[in-house]
Amino acid sequence: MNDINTVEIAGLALFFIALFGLIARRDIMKSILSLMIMEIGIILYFLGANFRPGMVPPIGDITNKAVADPIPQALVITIIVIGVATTAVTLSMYISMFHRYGTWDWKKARNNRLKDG
Amino acid sequence: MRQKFWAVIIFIAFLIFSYIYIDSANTSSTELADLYINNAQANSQVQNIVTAIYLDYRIFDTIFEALLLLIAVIAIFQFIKLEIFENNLEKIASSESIDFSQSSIQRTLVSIIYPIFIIFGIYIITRGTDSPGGGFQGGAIMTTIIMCRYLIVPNERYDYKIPYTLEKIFYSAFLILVFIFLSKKISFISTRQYIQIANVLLGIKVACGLSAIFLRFIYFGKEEAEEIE
Amino acid sequence: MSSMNPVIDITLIVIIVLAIFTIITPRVRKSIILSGIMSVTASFAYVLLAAPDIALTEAVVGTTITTVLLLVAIKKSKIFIVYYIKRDEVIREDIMKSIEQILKESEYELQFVCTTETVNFLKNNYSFELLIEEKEDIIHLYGEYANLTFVDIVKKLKSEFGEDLISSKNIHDIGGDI
Repeated sequence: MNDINTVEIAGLALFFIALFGLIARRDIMKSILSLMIMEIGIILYFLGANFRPGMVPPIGDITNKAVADPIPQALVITIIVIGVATTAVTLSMYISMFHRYGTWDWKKARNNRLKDG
Repeated sequence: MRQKFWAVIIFIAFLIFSYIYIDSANTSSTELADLYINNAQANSQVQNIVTAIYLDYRIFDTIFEALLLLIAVIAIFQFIKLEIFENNLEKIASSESIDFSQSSIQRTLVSIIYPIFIIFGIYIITRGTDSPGGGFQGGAIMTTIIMCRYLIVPNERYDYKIPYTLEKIFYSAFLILVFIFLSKKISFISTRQYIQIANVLLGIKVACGLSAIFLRFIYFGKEEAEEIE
Repeated sequence: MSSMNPVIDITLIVIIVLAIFTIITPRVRKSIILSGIMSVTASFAYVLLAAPDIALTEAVVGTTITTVLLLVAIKKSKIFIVYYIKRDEVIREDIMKSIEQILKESEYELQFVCTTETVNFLKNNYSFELLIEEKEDIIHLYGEYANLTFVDIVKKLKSEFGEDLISSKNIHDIGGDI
């Protein structure tokens, strides 16, 4: 057995749980929440990539200590803020869709759309 | 039954992926990480390596991601239409605008706490060089100021155009600063000063952008009856 | 397995359990609050993984901004806009009462506007869900048939007031002048 990280397996599991939430739920709000859970799973995978217990964050006095990898952290910071902006855009589409169809169930809305002229 | 069918399929996919992962997991080489850990603190004159990476070594990533945030704000302003309810924005805050349907415990406690958020936000933005902090983090904290204000006085008129235009001004200032820093002939600021100023501009830009998103969301009309001729 | 800190393992298990609960609960508001709790737990996990910058950002963004945005979106999406074309300054109170009764059941917020413009002008310049016009003792209801709430309102008004009093038309079928 090679070196296995429990953090990466947890990230993988979260991603697949959120994938189930996207496929098997009809409420659109649940889909938006599943996207947020996917994002947390991906961040956990990034941060656990080269991690060993006892590492120190890459800030301050770091002589003679094992330091965590600084590059994934720099990329993840922007991911979180942009995730909020993307959630806001999908929410504004949700509001417009609720106005038009009167329901939050994507199956009913799709059936209704074929009835409209 | 359909849901159980999908759950079984996703569980099998998870097992396949985890088998592939376990089979090929070995410690990767830390060559790239060592390059940054050994040299970044001396070259950039700051102690926080993460800030040095996203403002000095990989500046182009940050420029385009800030641009992405700006475009998302513009997209929201197009999706939510406000044609009718522009007439509602004439109200000015007064003592009658306190909405008594909110609980007074919430109003009192939030009004005590929200000045602390302002100080905390400014502290996190300006201490990005030597301790955890920086532009994006402080900008997210500063947007809670507008949210707290909305929780206390929900009926006050908030002008949503002000953060919308301010964001573009600060983004242009940030681009000019990066251009001055990158061009070798006219650069006269040291790396440490450049990182400090860039953090402040980026923080205010992110705060304005997220506040514009929030203000556009809460305006969807409150009046009961209205006359249009 | 490389031995991880037991604190990290317990935190990861709590995150996974909360994620399963978020997806399974049938009520929407409960799942939004659970996702806020999950963000706080994830921020604690990031501290243990030697990333304090990310923990700061996730704690603020995941808890305050995302939860408030989701709750505001749920509240502001339930707005139903009704336009009423007035002739002779009289509004039929009984019709408005039955409409309000339907909307109360599904927590809608009613937005009611009285006007004296024509149907075509309103159709081209303003957006609404229901348009009521009273003409020669027949009440015309205009709306989109794809909207489930509009269909429910038409059904209920027809069953209460009789078939010959109410007529409903799809708003997109109107062409030319009325």
